[in-house]
Amino acid sequence: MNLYATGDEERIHAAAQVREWTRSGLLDTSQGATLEAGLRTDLKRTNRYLRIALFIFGTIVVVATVRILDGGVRCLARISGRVVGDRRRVVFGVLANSSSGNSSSIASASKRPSPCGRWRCWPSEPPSHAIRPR
Amino acid sequence: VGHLRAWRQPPVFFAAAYRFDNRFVLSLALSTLGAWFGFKLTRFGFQSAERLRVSALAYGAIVAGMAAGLRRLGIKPHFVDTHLHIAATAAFVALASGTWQGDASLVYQAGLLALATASIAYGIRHRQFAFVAYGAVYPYVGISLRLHAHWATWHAGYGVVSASAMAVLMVIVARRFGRDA
Repeated sequence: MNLYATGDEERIHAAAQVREWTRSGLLDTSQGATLEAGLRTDLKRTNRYLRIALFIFGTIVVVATVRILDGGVRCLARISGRVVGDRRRVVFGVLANSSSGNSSSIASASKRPSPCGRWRCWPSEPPSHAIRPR
Repeated sequence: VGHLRAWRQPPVFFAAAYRFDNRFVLSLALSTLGAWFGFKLTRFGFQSAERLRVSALAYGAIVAGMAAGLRRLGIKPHFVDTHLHIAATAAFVALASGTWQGDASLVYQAGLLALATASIAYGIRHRQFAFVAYGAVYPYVGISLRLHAHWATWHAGYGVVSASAMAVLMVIVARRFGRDA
């Protein structure tokens, strides 16, 4: 897939060759100018300094975007961990209540703090205090 | 050449550059002149960042003055841009590095903006996009460093928005400088 027309690319290539032949003396200046006039296109060539500046700003944008995405993923992971932790606490609280017959243990089990900290989910094995019948 | 003493190198390189009309040797001469500036400072005990900045600004002014002299006298007009590139780089780096620390940071900030304005005006007038790029990139770096010195953490949102805006601005300005393909 080409962004530019094939004819334009061929004319640009031919004009570069004409300039090279003029520099090396195979064509004199008037011949080179005449040939180049017939090879003009509407395209503009970007500046080297523009490319360097775009590289600098592009790098800043990419680094900042990666940091934003990284922060978003971490935030989502924390939020999802908190939701999973709350759900497991409720489930284990119900299990504890059904085995012991104590209705107040649902509330006490669900209010109990996570052993891994506020934002973490439960570890892979359910905590012993949530499933042990009282 | 490597055995020449520091103070002898710039004149030798300048003479060779003008005799053989070589811009590479000229840039070598200007670099050794800059190194001699730094060497003189450390020899006399001036090692603080503030002194180095002042020295770099003096160096930039001298090299820019040489460029103006060459242009006025009509000597080696193709050497003028080499002088100006090196002078602009030295002055911009010195000013941008002083914008985020020290008591004179506001002075450096004002100087940076003034030099950026002059650089952009010169670039547009003489159709030299490099000086427009200098006038855009260095103040951006200086202002960003100053902002981040005041903020506790690095704000990634600032980086995305400001750098995208600068890139778009550069493309818009560069369309004036584009040469035929």
